[in-house]
Amino acid sequence: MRILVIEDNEQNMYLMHFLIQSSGHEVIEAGEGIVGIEKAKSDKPDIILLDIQLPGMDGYEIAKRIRATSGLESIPIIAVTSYAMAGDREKILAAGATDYIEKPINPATFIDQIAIYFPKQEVP
Amino acid sequence: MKSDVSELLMHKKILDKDDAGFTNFLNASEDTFVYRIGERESEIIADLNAFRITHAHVNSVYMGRESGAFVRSHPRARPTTYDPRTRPWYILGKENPGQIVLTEPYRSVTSPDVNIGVVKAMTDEKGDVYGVLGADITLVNLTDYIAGFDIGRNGEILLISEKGIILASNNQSLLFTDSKQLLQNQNDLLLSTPEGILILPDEYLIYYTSPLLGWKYAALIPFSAIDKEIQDSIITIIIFVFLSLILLSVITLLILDYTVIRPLTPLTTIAKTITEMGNLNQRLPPGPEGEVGDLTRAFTTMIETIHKQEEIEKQAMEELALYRDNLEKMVLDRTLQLEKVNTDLQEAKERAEAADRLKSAFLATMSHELRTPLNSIIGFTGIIIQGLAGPLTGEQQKQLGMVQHSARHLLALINDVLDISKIEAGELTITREPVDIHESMKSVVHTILPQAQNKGLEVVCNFSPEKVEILGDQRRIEQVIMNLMSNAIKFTEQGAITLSSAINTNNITITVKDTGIGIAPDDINTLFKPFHQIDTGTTRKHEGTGLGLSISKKLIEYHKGTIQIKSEIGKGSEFIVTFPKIKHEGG
Repeated sequence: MRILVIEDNEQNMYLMHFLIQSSGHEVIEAGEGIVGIEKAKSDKPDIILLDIQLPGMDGYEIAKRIRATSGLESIPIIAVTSYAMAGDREKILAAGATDYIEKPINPATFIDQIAIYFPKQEVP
Repeated sequence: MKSDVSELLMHKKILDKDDAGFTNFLNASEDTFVYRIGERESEIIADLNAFRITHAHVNSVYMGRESGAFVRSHPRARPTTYDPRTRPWYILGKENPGQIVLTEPYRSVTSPDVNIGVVKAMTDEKGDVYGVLGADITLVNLTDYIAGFDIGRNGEILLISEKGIILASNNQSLLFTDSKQLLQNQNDLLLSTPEGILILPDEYLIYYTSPLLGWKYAALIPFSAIDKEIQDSIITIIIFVFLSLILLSVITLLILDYTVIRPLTPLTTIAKTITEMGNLNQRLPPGPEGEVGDLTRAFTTMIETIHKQEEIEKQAMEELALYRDNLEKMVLDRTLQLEKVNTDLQEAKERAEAADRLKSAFLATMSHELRTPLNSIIGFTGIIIQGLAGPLTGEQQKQLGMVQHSARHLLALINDVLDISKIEAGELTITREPVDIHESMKSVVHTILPQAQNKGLEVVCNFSPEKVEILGDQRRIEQVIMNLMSNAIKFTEQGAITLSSAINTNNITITVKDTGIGIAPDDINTLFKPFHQIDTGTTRKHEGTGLGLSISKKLIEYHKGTIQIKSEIGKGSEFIVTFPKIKHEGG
């Protein structure tokens, strides 16, 4: 699977990168929203992990723009959020995210949580 | 004459109130009476007599006393019984104290003359009358005087007093009779009108009134005497009377002009000036004595008063204008102040709103910023403990376990602090979805079971078999149950934790029961206060923020539920939470 991770914090990026790579999947990194949207268009990932609290363009805006992009209307977008404020969860789903994972992530269950949204492998 | 009597009353000897030994005639008899006159009385008599002699028209001066004493300027010819206090002159004087009064004319006892008494009461310092002093004035030969009028051979002239006594007449039979006898029912007309002609049975009576004395001069003319000559005489009298009247009028006019009109002229001029010019700075000459003078002075006073009044009004108007200007300024100032207050209020409101937004943003930021590093700490610790990054020694495993425990505790603290902040900021909202309460309870037990087992505690589940849903936020409901279970494990050293549920008509009761240290009754009330953890004294301070129960209570209230506590020190506690349940139709 090709997993696009949009995350600005270097340590958290490395944590998710490590977990994803350890489970045998490919990681496409994006440190900010604009880059993430470009890579979503160009690199054709299978699933996107999206941090919400980002400098510049925030996760809600990124989710909306990806959803508005032709060919990316139904790509799974999993928000990784710290449940900051009341109504955040509703806002995330309303912005176009498929689901969300609460921070701090649990390394033991993290891959299982996102694997639900992996596209079904076509049997050759 | 009146002033002359007053002059007499200045004599101290006469005025002396002491009248002991004065002559009286109260029991006198003509045959036996003998004058016995003392020294003081004889001096008074000398004074009275001196007065009589020096005033030609005065024929008698006399004094009566309240004692009945009677002292006269000359001895009485016939000293008969006489009480002055009963005499009209005395009574008149006594009735008008402080005044000099004239008595009715009366006939002299000794001559055909008419007398008038001028009397004045003698009063002490208290105003009480102790005597009356009098002097008789003789209207000498009045009859001779009027006989001098030639009004025809058969005519008669009469002089009639105000009360109708005929004082003079050349007919002796009429003298000192009441005019009523002569005039019968026409007498009232005579006395009440100043002049006129009355027709009597045999004669005419023509009369006019003396303006000075009020006495009437009347002429009686028999009808038989009215021949031409008499008619001429009458005409002469009438002409004479009318000419006299005209002359009197002219004199009166002249006197009026001098005494009234002339002094009034400056008054009129000034009144006109004031009316036309409105100038009150007018001053009058002092004016003559008397009523016109009084009027002039009153007029001057009036002008001054009006002038002062106008000055006062002018000042008042100026003051009023000042107040008005001041008031306008005050209103303006106040308006500006109010505008400023409004602006300040608007600014304060905006600041408050900005602060509110800032607070929300701060909570969001803190939540994110604190969790981001914890995310990697907990994440990497987990990765290493799982051995994903390579094999570990036993000691490394143990110590990393401690790091993980501390990191998770730190995360719990952050979550609690953020929760309570959100609650207090009113930022906490909960979702409203049907939650299967037993599923949530199972989930909590599943999570917490390892902690209980680590302490060797048993966890007993005693759920109602019925499926029950409540409306609310699953995450928050589980947080409440987790908090209660976690506390139960924390404060129980041995025994069991029992989680049970009971279904009622409208609600579900969830009970968490432990066999722990228990809570003193006094402490139960403070249990739900933020940052409160009961100091157990003998046992160690338990790990936690002291926020858990406070948050739980709030979350229960957000779900329209209640929480109760039953506890006994040393035996354990029981937390009973009740949530309203969703009623399904037909079930």
